[in-house]
Amino acid sequence: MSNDLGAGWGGEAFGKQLAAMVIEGNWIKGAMKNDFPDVKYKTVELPAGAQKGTLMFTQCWGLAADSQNKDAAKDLIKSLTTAEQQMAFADAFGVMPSRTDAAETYKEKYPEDAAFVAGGEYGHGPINLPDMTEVVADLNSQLEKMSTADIAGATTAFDENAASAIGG
Amino acid sequence: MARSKTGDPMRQPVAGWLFVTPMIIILGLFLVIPIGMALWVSVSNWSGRGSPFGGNTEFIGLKNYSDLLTKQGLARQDFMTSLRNTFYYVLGVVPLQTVLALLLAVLVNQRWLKGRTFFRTELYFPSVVSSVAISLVFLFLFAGSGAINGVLAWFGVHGPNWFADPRGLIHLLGNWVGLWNIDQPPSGLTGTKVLNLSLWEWVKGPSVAMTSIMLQVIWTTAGTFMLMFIAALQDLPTEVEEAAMVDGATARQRFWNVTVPHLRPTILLVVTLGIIGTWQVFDQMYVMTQGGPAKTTLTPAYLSYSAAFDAQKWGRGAVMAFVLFLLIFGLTQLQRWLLRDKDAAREKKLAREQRRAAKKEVPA
Repeated sequence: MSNDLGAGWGGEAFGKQLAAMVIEGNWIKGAMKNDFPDVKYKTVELPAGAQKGTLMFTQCWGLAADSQNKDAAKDLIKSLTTAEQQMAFADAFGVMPSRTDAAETYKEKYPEDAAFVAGGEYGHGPINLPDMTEVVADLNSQLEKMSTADIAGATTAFDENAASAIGG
Repeated sequence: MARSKTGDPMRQPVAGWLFVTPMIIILGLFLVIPIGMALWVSVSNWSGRGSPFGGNTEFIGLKNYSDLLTKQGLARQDFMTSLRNTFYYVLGVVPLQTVLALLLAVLVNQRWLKGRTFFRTELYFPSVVSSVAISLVFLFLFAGSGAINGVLAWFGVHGPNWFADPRGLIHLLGNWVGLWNIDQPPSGLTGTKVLNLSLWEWVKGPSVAMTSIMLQVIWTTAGTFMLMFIAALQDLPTEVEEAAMVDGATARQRFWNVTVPHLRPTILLVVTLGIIGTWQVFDQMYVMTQGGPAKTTLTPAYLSYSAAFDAQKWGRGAVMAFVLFLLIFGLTQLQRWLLRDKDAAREKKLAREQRRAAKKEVPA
């Protein structure tokens, strides 16, 4: 874990060359460029275990339930999530577009991110169901000490908690 | 002499009410009404949107309470974990801070000590500084590559990564004396579960991360309580001490038989305030650990906050706050009863019995 190395997150541990490799998203690109421009590195896809997998998630636009201008807000969000707009966000902030029809354009423009884009084919999103946040947080808390954690116990507890959160 | 309640010129009801009105309004507005609202939230299904007294919120009785306390699930597991953590926290902090405060007070109250004012100010200083600022400094001091571990390294000790270490002190101690192997805990303890946590989890003790927070809190609050002890010590007439000296009492005897009995009410106060304050610990967890590592610094106050403001379970958050209140209330009552003046209690009891006996005799 990065805090065992006195670093705030994986990217910092990697940039300080305390870690030989890290699992991060494409935001690491900006951090490496700004904070550790001298460190040379390469991005590759996660190696396949039983099958290929990675985590993908997206940020979201929120629409206030009590808003008086819901339709206008919906239209705005629709236009902000077109492939064209998402590419504009990618150019401005370095975030990857969430639409599959923008993936090719993005890959052509930023070939160094090809490994991240490839993950979109087989990655899984987080479980966005009510009450699941704390179940996932509980799993994370048990995995904090990876080296000594009771992995089997943690996954069993996760299954039980998830079942009761989703079922109940 | 019979006095009429209204006609007494010494009583000035209008002026009296006038003087207390500002305080009543402030207390009502910022204490009584919010507590009443929280009580309502704890028995309603308010979602956090709109007014809790609006049309969408319904009374659901004690469902939030029973969900938290009787339903087998993550919510109860987290709450029990937080109670366990805080129990060890209180057990460590309250006695240590009381003893340390008392010793410091006695020390800086000695007449032979030069620069007493300096020491008093210096020792009280941590209490004046914001706990958030202190927490941030401790975060750096106790970092894996921080100053504390740097000093430990001089002595060849490889310090832990304090705030990232969830191992429990009692687990470590048992491992050290050979009672058990921390990596393969005895199945008798891991197999039995009481209120969501295995016995092995219950006996864990404060984690290394929690211990660092405890050290910080003891260091901060010892100064606060030292001030109370100093005030009480200055009430102690020098003649009593001198009389004890004339009687040939040693310094140690004077401390135990003169100073400590004299400080009894203050000790009671400090322990009471200590128990109340430690059970409510929040700032340090909010700033430094957010309940981690591995939920070992989760406390009821922080959990109540995160249930309400992070998970949007307002009812559950309010319930935790009230359960915590009842717990603190119960514990302080118990502690007052345990630390009561036994001679005074006995005298009172005797007087009561005599009164009762006298009453019985009258009709006979």
